[in-house]
Amino acid sequence: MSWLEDLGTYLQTNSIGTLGSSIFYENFDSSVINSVILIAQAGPAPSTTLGNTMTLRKPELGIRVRNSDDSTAHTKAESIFDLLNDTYNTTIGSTRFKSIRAIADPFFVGQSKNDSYIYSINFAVRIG
Amino acid sequence: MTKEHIDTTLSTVSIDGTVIEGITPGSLPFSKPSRDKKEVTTNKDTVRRYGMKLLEPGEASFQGIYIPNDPGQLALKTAADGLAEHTIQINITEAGIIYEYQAFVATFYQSEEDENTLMFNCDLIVTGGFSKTTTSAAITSIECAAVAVAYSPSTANSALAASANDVIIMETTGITTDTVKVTAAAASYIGISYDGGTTWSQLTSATAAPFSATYWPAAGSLAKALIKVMETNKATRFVNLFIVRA
Repeated sequence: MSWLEDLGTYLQTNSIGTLGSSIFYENFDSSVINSVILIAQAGPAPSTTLGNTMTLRKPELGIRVRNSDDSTAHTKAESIFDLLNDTYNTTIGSTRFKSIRAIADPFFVGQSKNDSYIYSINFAVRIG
Repeated sequence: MTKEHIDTTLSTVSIDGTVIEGITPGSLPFSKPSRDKKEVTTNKDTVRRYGMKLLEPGEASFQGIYIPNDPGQLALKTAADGLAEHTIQINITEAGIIYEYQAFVATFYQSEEDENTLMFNCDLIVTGGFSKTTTSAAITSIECAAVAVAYSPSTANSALAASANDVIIMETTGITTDTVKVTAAAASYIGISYDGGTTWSQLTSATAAPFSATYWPAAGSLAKALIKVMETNKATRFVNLFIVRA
């Protein structure tokens, strides 16, 4: 299971939604308005030590929250922010996260064509 | 002639034969030597004349991720607390080149890197010159006097492999003293240290010397010593020697 899938499962465990029903990876499901997606985004290059004995991967995690109600979308985005931000030295699923830190507060992206509201939260992730 | 970049990523840095883990790539501790001129003008000269002063070997620094239990970093800390010279080796694995010099560990201290990672920093004062070699000093064997002991590697007492960095001597029950005999005919210096390389006692090739009674292990325990063999135009070789008592 990838680090992204580990976090997807973690969101489900913490009642953010249900995988395959309201939590998806990479793309929104066109048939589900009220949903959350997790995106593995590019971050800085991994750092390593001499001899490649210790490698720290540095991807970024993008989360988009979509809901037909603006307030609900915002509240769920805040819940995810509170759940993941400032996580240190924690093993989630099969991945050891050295840290998960928000890059910024949750912010409003805009309204989609079906008049739903989308919020975005982005995290700097350190794995190693 | 092959022309290619030599990558240093897989290189190692060691102090007295103990590899230091966690070092940040790009910080291999090469010192920057310098040399000043001196005036040697005489009364007969019409312009100034200069000679060269001795080469100043300089200083080196390196840093890395702090690993509290890493033997190499522990050796750096111990060295920084003392005033002894130590052997620093930079092994450029990809090119098969070993750079070696003697240095004092001036400081070993922690800092925080911008990824909120605890780092170590080390400053070295180089004394003497660099050597650049491709092979290490040769050691024929390391053995003890007691009979019926077991060696690991099993041929350590007759033909020690060039790649062997550890020798374990398992004493039989009841043995309370023993000797160490290192055979290295071409060596310019052979030494044994019981304190991780801080102080050394000189050995003679193919001549047995008592293992220190101070450090001789109690029954059921083990003791560790460090063997150092130096040879002209070769990298100094270090072997960990473990004495295990039944």
